[in-house]
Amino acid sequence: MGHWFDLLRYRVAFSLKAEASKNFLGWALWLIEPLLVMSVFYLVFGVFFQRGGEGFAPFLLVGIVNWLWFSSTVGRSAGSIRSARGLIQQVYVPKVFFPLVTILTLCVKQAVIFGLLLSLLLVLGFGAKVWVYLPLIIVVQLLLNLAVALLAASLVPIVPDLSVFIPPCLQMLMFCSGVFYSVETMPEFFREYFLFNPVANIIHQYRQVLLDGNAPDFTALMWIALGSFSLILMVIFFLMKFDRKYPRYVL
Amino acid sequence: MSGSLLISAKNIGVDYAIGHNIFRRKTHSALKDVSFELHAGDSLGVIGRNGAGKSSLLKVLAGIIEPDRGTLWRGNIKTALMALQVGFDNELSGLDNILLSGMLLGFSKAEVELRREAIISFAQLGEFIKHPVKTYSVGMRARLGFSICYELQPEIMLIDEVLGVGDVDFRKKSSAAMRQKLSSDQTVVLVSHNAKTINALCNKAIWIEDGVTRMFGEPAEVVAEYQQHMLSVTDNESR
Repeated sequence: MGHWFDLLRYRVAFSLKAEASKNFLGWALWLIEPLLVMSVFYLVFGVFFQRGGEGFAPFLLVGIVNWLWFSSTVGRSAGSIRSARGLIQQVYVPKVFFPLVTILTLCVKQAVIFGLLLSLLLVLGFGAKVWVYLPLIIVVQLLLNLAVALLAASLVPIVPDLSVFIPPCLQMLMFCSGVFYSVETMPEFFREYFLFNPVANIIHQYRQVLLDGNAPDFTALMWIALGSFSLILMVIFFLMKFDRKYPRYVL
Repeated sequence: MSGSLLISAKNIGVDYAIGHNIFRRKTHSALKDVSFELHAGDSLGVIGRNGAGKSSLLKVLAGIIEPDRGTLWRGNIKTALMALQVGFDNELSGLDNILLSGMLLGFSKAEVELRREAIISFAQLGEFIKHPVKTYSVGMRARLGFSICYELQPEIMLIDEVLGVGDVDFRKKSSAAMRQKLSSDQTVVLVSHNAKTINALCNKAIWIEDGVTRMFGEPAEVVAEYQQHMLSVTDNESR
């Protein structure tokens, strides 16, 4: 066990190092990506449609930063076991190792991006008085990210077709998660169901704490955490049970 | 003389799913019934035609897959397939790749670091060891890959056909080193379709045909029997 944790640590550190050295802009690229995505949405909804209103930029940024963490974690983990097919034919590695490398690498990047987001909000004059609740929301999102990413990674090698379905599903989810609109602007009928979407709910909680200065909805967070945790346990059990079967599927 | 028992395989079988989708579900038995014993210090040669199940057998021994049938007993030992360039990351330096590859082969960071100088000097990469692997030539990559596997010694070394790699000089050096290792007290399982190699380097041999052990014993006898069989097969086919 200890050996695999050591290897995981080095693999994550090396992935970050490799990524930083590969790009011309290095680490700066991590910060530019969310800003670029924000500019696109700001241009379309804030400028073209005049839908933003006051404080649209920070509203968007909070949504996008946390949405991108979720979507890149799921999107990149999904193929992680499958793309290690050469490796798993040559050495034994617990299969859960591969998505974990991706998930942890993205966690480190997210920490940097999130740090920048918080400093930006402080500069813009948002108060930090309820920010003590942030770690709680972050942990809940991490559990959700882990659950969905591990599930996707464990199924793609068995049903490769899934890799075609994942990007459109993520896109659908983004439009349903209030990344660029708020719950209040939705028709009454949908509003009730909107927050059943865990991603929408988490983004809503971030905005409550970061922008509106309110405490998050603890009951909602608890349910998301519990659901994610049970899913994580199930997927890990599945991965361990079929650990030495995967090399025969992923040919 | 043979040392203590390291591996004992009794009637092991391995199935693969071919073309698995919801409409078609077929299996192919790569191994049907294979039995043998491996003792410390043995050099076991595995011989057989293409598709006989040799590589599947190595995967079972390396712990990559588990047999579907039969029993496989293994002592608590480190077994590693001689997997050249395993887990290499092109963006990282040769030094980083030594650690990564070594740890993937099952060695701790301390064990890899202990052998690091030996790996570097065997690979003859000089200053290049600090540069990213993407700047290496094919031959340089092969040299580094070989040196890592060669210098880190698992209790049982599993070799699939590779004895020498790289350009002419390094090929000579690496295959001489491997031959020496095979005749030392290192425990080795060597897969080859070259009967001569097995005859010269192994002290035990197993002949697998269509996933079944045809013969297990002295290399000279097994190889002679195998060659006679191959002759009769080609005779039949040419008729």
